Order: sequence, then structure tokens, then C-alpha cells
Amino acid sequence: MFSFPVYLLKSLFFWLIFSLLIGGCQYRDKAKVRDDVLVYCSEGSPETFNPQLSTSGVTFDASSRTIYNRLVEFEPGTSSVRPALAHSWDISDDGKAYTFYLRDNVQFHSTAYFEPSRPFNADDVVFTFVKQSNPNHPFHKTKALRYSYFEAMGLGGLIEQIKKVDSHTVRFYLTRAESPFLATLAMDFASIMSREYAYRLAEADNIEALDNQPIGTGPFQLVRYQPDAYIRYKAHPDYWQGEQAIGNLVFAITPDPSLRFARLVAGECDVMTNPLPVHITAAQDYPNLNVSSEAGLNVAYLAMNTRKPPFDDRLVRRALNHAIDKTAIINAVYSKTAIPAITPLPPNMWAHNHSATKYEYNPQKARELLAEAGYSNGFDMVIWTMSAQRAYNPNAKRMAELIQQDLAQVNVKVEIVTYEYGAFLRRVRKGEHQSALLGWISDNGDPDNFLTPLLSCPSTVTGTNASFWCDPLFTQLVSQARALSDKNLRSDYYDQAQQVFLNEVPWVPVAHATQHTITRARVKNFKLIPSGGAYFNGVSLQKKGVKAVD
Amino acid sequence: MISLFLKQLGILLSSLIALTVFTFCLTLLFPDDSIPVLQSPIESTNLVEQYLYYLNQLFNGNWGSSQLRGSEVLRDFLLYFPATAELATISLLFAISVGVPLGILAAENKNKWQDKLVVSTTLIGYSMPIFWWGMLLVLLFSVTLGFTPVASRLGFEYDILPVTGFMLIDTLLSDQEYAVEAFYDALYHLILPAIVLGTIPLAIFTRVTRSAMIDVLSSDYIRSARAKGLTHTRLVWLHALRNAMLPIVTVIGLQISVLITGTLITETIFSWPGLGKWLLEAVYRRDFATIHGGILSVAIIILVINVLVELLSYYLNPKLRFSV
Repeated sequence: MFSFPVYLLKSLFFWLIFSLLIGGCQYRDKAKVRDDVLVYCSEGSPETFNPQLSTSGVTFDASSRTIYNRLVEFEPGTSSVRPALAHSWDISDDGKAYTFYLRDNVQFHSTAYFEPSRPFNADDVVFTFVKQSNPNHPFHKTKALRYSYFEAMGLGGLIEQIKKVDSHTVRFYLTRAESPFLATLAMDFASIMSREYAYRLAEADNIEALDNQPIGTGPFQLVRYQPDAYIRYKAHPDYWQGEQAIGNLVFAITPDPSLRFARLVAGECDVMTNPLPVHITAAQDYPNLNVSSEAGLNVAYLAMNTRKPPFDDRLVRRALNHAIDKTAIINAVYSKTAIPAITPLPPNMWAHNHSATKYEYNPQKARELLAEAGYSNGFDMVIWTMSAQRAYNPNAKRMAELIQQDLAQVNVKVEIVTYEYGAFLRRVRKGEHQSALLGWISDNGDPDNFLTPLLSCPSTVTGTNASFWCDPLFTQLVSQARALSDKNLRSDYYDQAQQVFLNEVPWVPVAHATQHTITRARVKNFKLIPSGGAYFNGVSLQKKGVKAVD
Repeated sequence: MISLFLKQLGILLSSLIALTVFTFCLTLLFPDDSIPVLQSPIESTNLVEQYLYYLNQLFNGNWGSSQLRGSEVLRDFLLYFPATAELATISLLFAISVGVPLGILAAENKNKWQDKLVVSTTLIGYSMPIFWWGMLLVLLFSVTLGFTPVASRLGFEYDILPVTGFMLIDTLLSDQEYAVEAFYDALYHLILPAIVLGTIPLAIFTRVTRSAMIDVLSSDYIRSARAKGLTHTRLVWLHALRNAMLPIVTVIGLQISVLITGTLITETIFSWPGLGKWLLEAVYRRDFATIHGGILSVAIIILVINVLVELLSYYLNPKLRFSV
């Protein structure tokens, strides 16, 4: 028999409480001071650290936007392209050859797992693109993920050859003139990787490390990644634009938006991604929080499947455009953080047709149009939505309910069906829906990136054209515009294409959501990029106290 | 004693076989090629041979790779397990160290106001929806008052190298100069999650301790001990509690599986990178290899713990201990 050690328990309790109190004092003094660490409350764990293999913004935030650079990049806050690893470029007169002149003395990261022996040069550029295009390239094969963007942007068929002219000059030969190519090279999947690192890994028989122990030229280098917990970076000391003002950058992986907001208010995060509209209103009560807004390059729309009745009739589609009250949706779903959509292109994009006449909200007119189409008694329809919150649509289900009410006014009875994100996309691609609430965020800020994948004839085959609308004139206008490099000429074609769209209205364009990020006041110089996501290059922190850690 | 041990071992083995048969059937329902390493390469084999192949692969540690990340499931499990184990252990300690004394207090003052207070509060605690309770505590203590951290295991100003995966141990192993400070920070991050996860077990422990103690305190030997002039403290803590321990230990054992399922919710509230978050994410993203590995590993943990608790209760029960 043992005797119960009461005295031990007592002393243990005393000791525990005592030490907690002492430790607590220490904790409250020091830990709040973290002048050298910027914490970003992000949405999820990246699938990989290789941006070539992903299409998700979460992965791009964690890899291409921190660790890597591209030949050219988007000017933060706009969709125009500026030099990055290439300091300048030439385009041949026929628009089929692009020559890039590379920057000197750009250093790759030097980490515990890799010590570069040479700076960045043309070999790395050739390696980056040939790896993605050539199935026989020794580094092409991957385990689970694919080169989705390289394939989706059609670069395999577009790039005829990539040639290293000299150590700091690279020339791309294209099979046809295509003006969005430059913007495409600024996209995340075109991030430049180190050829030397890849071959070093191949020698060690550890090629997979290329995807989870990244080496790039970007402003930050990876220190440690704990899935579902955090990603820790430190500033790249030899960054070609100069070392970052923030010494350490941490992504705190926090999928729940309300929890992200709570952490921001409590000071555990400095920047939060994708706040809900309610958080934006709430943030105004806190003097130390700033909301930054940026008109996003996105659109939310109701796609009507033109292959299924009654949406094969143009009059019905027009009637729906008159019957839906977009202002009410923007107030209720977006809390006014969006603008009503007229055409697929957002008004801040250069190709937007400003002379286009919009479909005003007019239920009477809608009823007349329906009567003209032979549906004076209305009809039944199904709207598909998905459960996930997206940047272009914070609450698709609520939007569907509002549309349901609006359409009831014109005798159209709506049934709403909600799917989980993956299943939703899969079934919409197959064209199983009658109508669906969808959205799009531009990848490269080019109007072609809206009109071709969402509305052209070829996309009805791949399924990204969810209205399955195929208009030869529209498709022709868009592909002609793609071949031109003069912005003004292209603009004319896009104006006409948008006119065709408005005549036929395969969608009800609903809204262009404004993007928001909430930051703490100590974060300086933070800018959103139009395609969404976080960009920490050049961000600094206002210092308050002494450094907690030397 | 040895025969009892062997008996428990037999129970464990047969449960494990039943479990693997169940998970094997699950893999048959999964889409093809979701866990290729567990599928017999020879097509013509019958179900029994396929099952044996499956068992063999499991034993060799080939649990397949995540379809999402390409990482090995077993390695992922080892990555996420320590966070859950740490949280569950601390909540269990919290629930026992508060629940048992509360139960004793209530039993000592049977039918007085202390007893009524304890009984009614534990009833509330027992019926509390964890999710709502967690949110409430976070809003009050973390967001409004700023006493405790909102989420995660450690403040990001500390860069601690994961060695064991147990934050309380890793911070102390760290050679950073702020190691001790980080240890306290990790402890602070545990407070709210441990309270939230421990609330229901705490209520149950209190109620079980109360009823067991009431039984024991009214028995003859206590009365005679009291007549002999033993102090109240010695009487309650030494003589009564020891005999009341048996039902308490059994209930603690049963509560461990409740704790593990409770972590599913608690980890979501606090963004805690443990098994719960791992599994939920896998279900959400249809990562079948991870779902399979997660179910199997969590079930094995619960089975093993249950057997250990059974053995412990044999040890505590003199009737059984000396019967063989």
C-alpha cells in the first residue's frame, strides 16, 4: 500500500501557481514586443512550395510571392507589367520573338540545405520553362500535382523554342503573335528556379526537395514549415532590391475567418487575409486597424446553361437580367463592398466598354420579355451554388436566395441546390447544371484572361465556359484581339465583343467584389495585388519597443 | 494477474483484427487508386488474400501517401500527433485536478449549498456545446480582456525547432536564449484549449467522484475510523478516496476517447495543428489515404489506452489483484 502524498500535491500546486504567476509577468512584459516579426494570418496550408504545380492563391502567397521572382512582375496595385529579373525586353515586329535582358548579380538564397555557387543567369530561365514544357526533361516528372497553369495558359503550344543567347540574354520564339504573353510571364507559375540547385538535388537523389525545400531569388527565404500551423521565413540578406525591412515573416495558418479577425484584434497577427464583410465594418471601431481596399479583377455571375431550355432562348436570358436587383445583392451579400457588374470585365480594366448600356432592374420589363418568349406563366428553374466562401462571392447561398426572391416576382420558381466546392466545379464542367452561381479572378490582369476561358467556343469543351455559349463572332473578335500588341486597337475589338455579350447575355453579371485586407496600424506600405493575395516585398513595421530578441 | 494481463492482450488483439477488417472494407469502398500501396498488386487474388496483403503492408509501415500533398500518411500522423497528445494530456490533468476535489467537496457537504452548487454547475458544464463555449471564452479572455492568446501553440516571436513535437518539451530543449520564456508562452497557449476540451470530462469526473465518495463515506469502516479520532483530511484523502478511486479510474479511461473526439472541435476553434485538424481537412478535401490512416491510428490509440486503463483498474482493485 502506498500512502497518498497529500503534502506533495499541495506543494506541487503551490509551485505551479507561483511559477505561472512569475512566468506570466515575464510573458506580459516581453512577448508583445516583436518588432522584427510580421505575422500574416493566412487561409490554409500550401499544397507545395513549387508554384509551377499549383493553381491556388494560398500556395502562391507562400511560394512565388515570397520566395521567388519572375522575369517581369505586376506593378503592385495595378495590372501593368514592370521589369523584375529582366531589366528590359524587346518584342520583334511580327510579335513572335521576345528577348529578355537579365539583371546582373541576382543571388539565390543560401540556406542550411543549399549553398549557391553562382548568381542567377540565363540557364535558370531556360531550365524553368523547359522543365514545364518538355515531358522528357529530367525534372518534369512529378508525383501528384501537374503543371496546371502552364497547360491552361496554352504555353506548350505557344512557345516554339527558348534560346539562351548569352549568359544574360534569353529569347522566346512563339508560334504566333500573342499579346498577353508578357503578362503571362508575370504570373506565379513562371517563377524562376535555380538550375544548379535542381542538379545538386538530382546528384543526392532527392529531387522531391525541389518542391518542399525551395530556393529562389525572392525577398524571403524559407526557414521552417509546420503544416496547418505556420510557415516561417527570414529576409534574404542578398536580395537584389536590397534586404527587406522585416527580418522575419510568419504565416499563421488560420482557416476560420472569424478566428483570423480575433487574432488580428488581439495583436497576434499584423495582416489578415480575406476578411468577411462584417469584419470590415467592425474594424472601423478599432483605431489601430486599417482596412485597405482594392477594386479586384474579378466577377461574380449567374451562368445560364444555354444548352438547356428555357435558357436557349435569348429573350428569357434578357428577362432574367432585368429581373435581378443587383444593388440589393451588393448591400446584403457584400455589405456594399462590391460594384454592380455590367459586362464581364470590371470597370477599372482598360478594356472595359464604358459606352455599354446596362440592363436596369425592371421586373415589369422582365415579365413582358418572358411573355414574348411564351412563358407568361413563368417556369421552374434550378440554381446551383457552392458552400465555400470566395473572394468574388462571400456568400453564394445568400445570393441565390435573393435571386430566388427577385425571380418569384416574375413568376419564375427557383430551387437552390448547394454543393461542396470540388463536386460543384466537377459537375458544372460537365454541364449538368441548368444555371449556376460562379465567379472568376483574373490570373494575369489581361482582358483575354476573362473572355477566352469564360465565354469562347473552345472553352465549352474544357468546361470553364459554364454557360456553354458559343458565338462565332464573339470568339473571332476575342482571338483577333489576342494577336495584337497595340492596346488601343485591342480595346476596339473588346468593345465589340462586350456588345455581342450584352446582346446575347449568356450570364447575369452580378458584381465585381472589392478586395480587402485588414492590417494593424504598425504595418507600413502594404499593398494588395489585383489578382488577390499578399505581397510583402517592401513592407515595413513601425518600431515601438526594444527588440525582444537580439 | 498474469492471466488477466493475457486476457487483456487477447482483447486488444481481437479488437485490432476487427478494426483492420473494418478499415480494409473501407478501402474497398474508396475510389480506385486512392491508396495504391494497400491494394494487392495481383489482380486475381480473393478477398482474404487481399486482406492479408493489406495487413502486411500496414505492419511494414506502408500506409500510403496523402493524395493532396504527396507526403507519407504515417509520417504525417507522427507530425500531428504530439500536438493532440499534449493538449489532451493537459486537459485531462486539468479535468482530474479540478473535478476530483470538487466531487469530494460536494460529497463531504452532501445536500448542503456547496453540493447543490457543484451539482448544478456540472450539469451545465456537461450539457455545454463545446464550440459555443470555446468561442465565448476566446471572446472574453483573449479578444476583450487580452489575458490569453487567441490561437495556435506558441507566439511567433519564438522560433523553436521541433524535436519531439511536444511544445512544452521542445521549448525547454531549445538552445535559444528565450527558451524559458517560450516555455511559459506555450503554457499560456494551452490554458484556454485545455479548459474548453476539459469541461465535459471535468463535469463527469466531479459527478462520478461525488457519488463514489458518498457511497464510501457512509460505509462502516469510515465511521469506525472517524470514531478512532482520525483527522478529517486523512480520513477523506487517504482512506475514503483510495476506495472511491476505482469507478473514477474506469470513467477516466472511458473519457479518453471522448477527449480525442473533442479535440476535433477544440482544434478547429483554436487553430491547433493536431490530429483533429488533420482529419477534418482530409475529409473536407477527400484525401482518402489520410482519412484511412487517421481513422486507423486514432482507433488504435483509443484501444491501447482502454486496455491500459483496464490493467490499471485491476491494479487498484485488491479483489482482482489478489484473486489469482
